Amino acid sequence: MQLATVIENRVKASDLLEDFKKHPVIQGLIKGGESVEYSAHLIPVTGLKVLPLLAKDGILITGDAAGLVLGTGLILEGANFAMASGIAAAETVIKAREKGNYTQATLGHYEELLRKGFVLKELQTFKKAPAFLENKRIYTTYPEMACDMAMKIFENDGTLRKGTFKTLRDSMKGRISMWQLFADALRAKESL
Amino acid sequence: MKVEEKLALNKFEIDREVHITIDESKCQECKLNQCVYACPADCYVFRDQHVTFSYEGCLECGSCRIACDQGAIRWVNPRGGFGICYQYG
Ligand SMILES: Cc1cc2nc3c(=O)[nH]c(=O)nc-3n(C[C@H](O)[C@H](O)[C@H](O)COP(=O)(O)OP(=O)(O)OC[C@H]3O[C@@H](n4cnc5c(N)ncnc54)[C@H](O)[C@@H]3O)c2cc1C
Ligand code: SF4
Ligand code: SF4
Repeated sequence: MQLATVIENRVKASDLLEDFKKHPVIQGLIKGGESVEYSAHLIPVTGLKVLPLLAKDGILITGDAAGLVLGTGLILEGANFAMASGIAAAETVIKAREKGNYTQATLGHYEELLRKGFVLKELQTFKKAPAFLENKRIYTTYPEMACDMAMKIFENDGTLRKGTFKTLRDSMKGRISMWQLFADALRAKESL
Repeated sequence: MKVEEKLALNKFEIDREVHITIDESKCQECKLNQCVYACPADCYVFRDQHVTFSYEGCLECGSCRIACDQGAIRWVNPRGGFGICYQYG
């Protein structure tokens, strides 16, 4: 859940979780389970719009604190970036200790290591993903269209079905224009 | 399961020093009360035409601080050893 969505729709994440647990499919999976703790955590998925603050005199910032999180809608990763940035920070500190110098200039080695490794490369590849995922049609129009199309394709009550492209056009009616669909597809190609 | 039942499962070391304070004058002017929806621990409750706040069940997620666009929330980490003490991560 995005915090902005929770606020905009005036629903609580805690209520959504309870609704989710009541879903018949989920109920089967959690039956007999017991809650042992209740926790909450924000995930800072911001995308690499600008390079995050990574080092200052005497300070290195790693993992979530530096916003090193990747969310593309299909994946959500932060544990790997936290570990890799932790290792890079440790190597930087060893180097700084050898020199006896902990200024931002020396600690800049940390950024170099992140650039060489996968952390900043991966974040760079998907830097437009968070902005793309703000598109509300991904959560409303497209799932509705997919369900509608599936119904039209798989439901066979004896009435003659239309071809798949015609069915797509029917499902789009009143929901989205062909132009908009293409524009979204193009943005998806650029962002994901 | 209600939120208060869930919170009862948690281990808290309540500090006498309050780690979140809100500027009530700003809350009185506030129309949207975003904090009420943002907080997973129901620390912010809309009651008698205004928002009341208690820090005891706080899970230290930081959502309220980001959600409030009025700058009414002052948020600092509780002192070491205090606040929510997660037992399972
Ligand atoms: C529900 C959920 C699902 C996720 N799923 C995945 C996934 O499938 N794959 C994946 O790669 N990532 C996932 N992540 C993201 C991943 O968990 C984080 O990106 C990662 O744990 C960040 O590591 P970190 O060390 O930077 O921060 P954290 O793990 O948050 O560690 C910070 C530590 O600092 C401590 N701390 C905070 N303040 C203080 C203080 N004042 N004094 C002392 N200590 C303090 C905290 O108690 C905490 O132990 C998920 C996150 C969530 C919330
Ligand atoms: S959103 Fe901010 S100003 Fe509004 S009620 Fe909540 S804390 Fe007060
Ligand atoms: S930090 Fe999280 S749990 Fe604590 S009061 Fe704010 S929103 Fe609620």
